[in-house]
Amino acid sequence: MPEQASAPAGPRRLIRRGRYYEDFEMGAVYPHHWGRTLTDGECQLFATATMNAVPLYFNKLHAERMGHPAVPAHPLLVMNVVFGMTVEDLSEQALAHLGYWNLRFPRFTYPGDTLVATSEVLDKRESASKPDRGIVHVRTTGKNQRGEEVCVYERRILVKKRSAYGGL
Amino acid sequence: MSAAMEHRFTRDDNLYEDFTIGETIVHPRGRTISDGEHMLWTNFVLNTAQLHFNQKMCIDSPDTTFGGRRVVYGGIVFAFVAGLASEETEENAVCILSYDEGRHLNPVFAGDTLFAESTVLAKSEDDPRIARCGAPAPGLGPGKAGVVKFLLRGLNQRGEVVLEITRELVILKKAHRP
Repeated sequence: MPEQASAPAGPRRLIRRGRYYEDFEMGAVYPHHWGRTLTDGECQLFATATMNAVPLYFNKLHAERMGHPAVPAHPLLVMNVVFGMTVEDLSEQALAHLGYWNLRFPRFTYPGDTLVATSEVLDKRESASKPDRGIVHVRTTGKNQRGEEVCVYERRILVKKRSAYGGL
Repeated sequence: MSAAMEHRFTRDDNLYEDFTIGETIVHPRGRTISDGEHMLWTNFVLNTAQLHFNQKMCIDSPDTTFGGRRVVYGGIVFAFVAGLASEETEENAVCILSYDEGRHLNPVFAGDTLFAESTVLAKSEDDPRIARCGAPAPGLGPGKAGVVKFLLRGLNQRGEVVLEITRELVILKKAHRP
């Protein structure tokens, strides 16, 4: 029997993250707190690891030929990085991510840019078939360090109800 | 001019004129998603949804996960499917104007192999968005490119559609291949 350390005697503070269906307010805007700087290595790795065979995203000579100051980040890396920062506030308690609507990239993103994301709750409704869940409709906006929009999309998320799953 | 600068970095068979409305391009490669790989990409983008990376939670909560299996994060399914479709559709694109109507229709798990198909839905040479696409790179003069709208479908090894999404690309014409 391995020796087991006993838990420290003081009070335990249990941390849970993620909003349940009841926690979303129509019209609320949630700033996602982290922010994320993209490096050139990350941009190059994403393009090649996802087999994105577009030299604009991994060839400096080609990017310059296309009029860019540097090799840009692939837009789907930008989308994924923005999306990732939203999860703690939007979908850490989700049952499923249903899809994407009206995804646009108003400007390119380059290595060294720092992205921040905010999301607005556009709609919420209870599931017609299952009482333990609801669908939340949000619009997420990613901006760079100059406040310029670089990625905007809407998303629908299937979220647990706190009443059904006993969240804290 | 150096040899490298004379070298062309894109194919000559995927420019605006090469796409025919109604045709479906069956992309040549498949890609198997491995277990550690999808977790790594989930964490790489700071996605904190545990149903992608906490096997204990999935086993303890089969009703709120996918029967206790860790599902692959959809944004990475999207990126892999787009990657599989990229050489035939996006190589000579100036920018991506939009993705829309995107739905994850079936879950993807480690070990699944993804394939991609692109159907040409529409083409347009006079879309006003062409002139200002790609900022901050310089805009395109008239007649250099057109918009091609595709339906992108991702399929698994059983032929089930896992992702369906439309996308609009601004694609250069043959005379303006870089």
